[in-house]
Amino acid sequence: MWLYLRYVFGRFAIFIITIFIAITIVFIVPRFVPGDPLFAVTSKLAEMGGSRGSPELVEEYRKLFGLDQPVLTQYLYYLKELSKGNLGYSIANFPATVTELLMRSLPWTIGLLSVATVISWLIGTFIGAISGWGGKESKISKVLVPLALGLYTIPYYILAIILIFLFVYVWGIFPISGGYTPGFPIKFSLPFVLDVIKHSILPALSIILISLGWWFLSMRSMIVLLQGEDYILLAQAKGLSDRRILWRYAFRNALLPQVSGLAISLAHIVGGAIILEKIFAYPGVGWLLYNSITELDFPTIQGGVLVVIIALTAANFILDLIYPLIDPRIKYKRG
Amino acid sequence: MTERKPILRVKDLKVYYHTDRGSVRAVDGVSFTMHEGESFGIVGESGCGKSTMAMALLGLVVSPGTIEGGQIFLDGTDIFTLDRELIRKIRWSQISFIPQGAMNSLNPVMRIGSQIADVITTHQGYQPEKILRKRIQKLLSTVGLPHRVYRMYPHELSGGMKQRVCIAMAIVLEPEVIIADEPTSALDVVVQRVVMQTLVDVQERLGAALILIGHDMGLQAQVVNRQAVMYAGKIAEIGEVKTMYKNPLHPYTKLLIESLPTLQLRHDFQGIPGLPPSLLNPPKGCAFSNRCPYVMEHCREAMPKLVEIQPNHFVACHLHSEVIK
Ligand SMILES: Nc1ncnc2c1ncn2[C@@H]1O[C@H](COP(=O)(O)OP(=O)(O)O)[C@@H](O)[C@H]1O
Ligand SMILES: [Mg+2]
Repeated sequence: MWLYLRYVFGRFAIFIITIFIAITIVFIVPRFVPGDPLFAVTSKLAEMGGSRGSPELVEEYRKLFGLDQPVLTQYLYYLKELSKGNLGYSIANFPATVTELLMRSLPWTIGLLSVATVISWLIGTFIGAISGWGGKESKISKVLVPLALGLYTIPYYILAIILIFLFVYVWGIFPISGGYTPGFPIKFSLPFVLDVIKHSILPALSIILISLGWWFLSMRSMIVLLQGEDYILLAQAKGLSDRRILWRYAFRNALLPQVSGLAISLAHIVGGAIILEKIFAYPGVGWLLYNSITELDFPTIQGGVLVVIIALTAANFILDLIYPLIDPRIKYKRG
Repeated sequence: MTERKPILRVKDLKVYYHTDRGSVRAVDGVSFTMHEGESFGIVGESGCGKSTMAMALLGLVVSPGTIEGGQIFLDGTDIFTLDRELIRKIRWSQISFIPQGAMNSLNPVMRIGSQIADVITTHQGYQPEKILRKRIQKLLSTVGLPHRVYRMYPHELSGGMKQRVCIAMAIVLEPEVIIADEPTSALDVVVQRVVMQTLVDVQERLGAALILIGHDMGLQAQVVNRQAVMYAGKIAEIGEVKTMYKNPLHPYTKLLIESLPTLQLRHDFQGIPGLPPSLLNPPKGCAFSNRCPYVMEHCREAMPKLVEIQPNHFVACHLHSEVIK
């Protein structure tokens, strides 16, 4: 127990340091990237018919965003505001803050991607285990392996387009895009929830189908690999039933890398699925980031990247905490 | 002692591995009989087919291996005629196994207790945890392990302890036959001796027949009464250990005994010159002919048969077959 606490503490320290480094990098990088963010703002204002990017306006923005200060001052200011959860104003959607924008889009992304990822993981892991256990010659493997390889190699946007074509244009079952029907009152009511689910099915399906191939193949190959292990052979010699050997011996060992895979995938979720959300005009983080990138909206990009990095680091930290529970071999060594 | 009831009879067993380069004749026409409670050794250089034979006795020949012929009678039943379910029931309850690599033979994510309990519940049905634990802890004590091992994971045990766990596991159902495949070859010399002693003790207490597989004739001789010398998938010589030491018939056995380190000449250990032949497309004649100091022309032409030269002493060598065909 004491050992575990020490281990947790060590991992936590690493977690904090990583985040701090990430924050700093996120601060530095945009300042070396070519392209003047204010130019983007002024040209946008010009598009909307405002005064043609007068130097005064640029100067005003420069002050507002603190860009006229020395870099170190900017950095300290940035840290101070960050600690208050303030990620600054969005340039592209000016009066809105980055935090607001992220808060608005995160639930969409997390809701869609986490459900889709977990469903895909569960199906892929279980079918992969059964197919791997049956061996190369089994009927399900002969059908599923080429299928999974096919799915795994299709880019998901192509699959998304195929799905849209079939379900929207040919059969007309699902709406083409969006997170909900425009004009629908956004509140927690059954019709609204159903509407949201209806909108999420196609994007979810494309994620599930694509990642399913991967989960299936990785679990399958793990099980096939483990079949040659001495402890599987001994379990067979013990006269255990095939089912018991699969689930208690092979599956439990094959699960370890699979769980890490799931944790990493879940952590990647917060970044959204940029292309997918773009195709479905889904109001999540991916879409937000896509728009911020095309509009050089640095504060929003920074905020988005930061959230992604924090989520990834946090997922690693959580994984470090639970891994010893599923794999007794993990020694609580330092580092 | 020789008049005991036969418990295991192997007749002309052939197990081949089918590889891209051809068939590997890992076990090629092996026959022997074992009696109740007997300790029987199988010795031979690495790669001569010992482990493959052990697996065949458990009905566990897996791809790319296949049984090409022969029969195995366990307590009178030919196990190759049984269906999968019945073979599964026989495994461990009648014939159990102590693996060569105890290091990797235990499931790393399962406690020792559960791994032993699995055997009991599979073969004897459900039992409450409390009873299982008592029984398993008692079993662990008989092989010299403390009770707490019940709750431990394999990685928390030393190599010797893991091997003891495997011994405990092998006797839990009190089988008639125990196969131990080089049970101590992965351990250091001191531990080796202690673990071997444990094995012999439990075997004697149980009255089970023991097949001890090994490559070290010296170690074998201390434990078994009768042994088979295997060479390239075949049996070269079978007999009482004492007789064989005094009067080895096969040149290979002779060389094996001569190459044993003696107390005086500890550092003088030398293997037998030459390499065992490939088991892929073996030569027409005697497999040992290319290394045999007494080789005759005839040896390269015809395969010698295993014949009984003296009572209970068999050899497959042309030097000893009176009638050369
Ligand atoms: N799965 C396999 N596929 C192909 N050849 C194998 C396989 N297992 C063992 N062999 C071959 O069968 C022969 C006997 O192996 P084995 O029974 O392990 O010998 P031993 O236990 O005496 O060292 C060796 O030549 C080995 O290369
Ligand atoms: Mg072997």
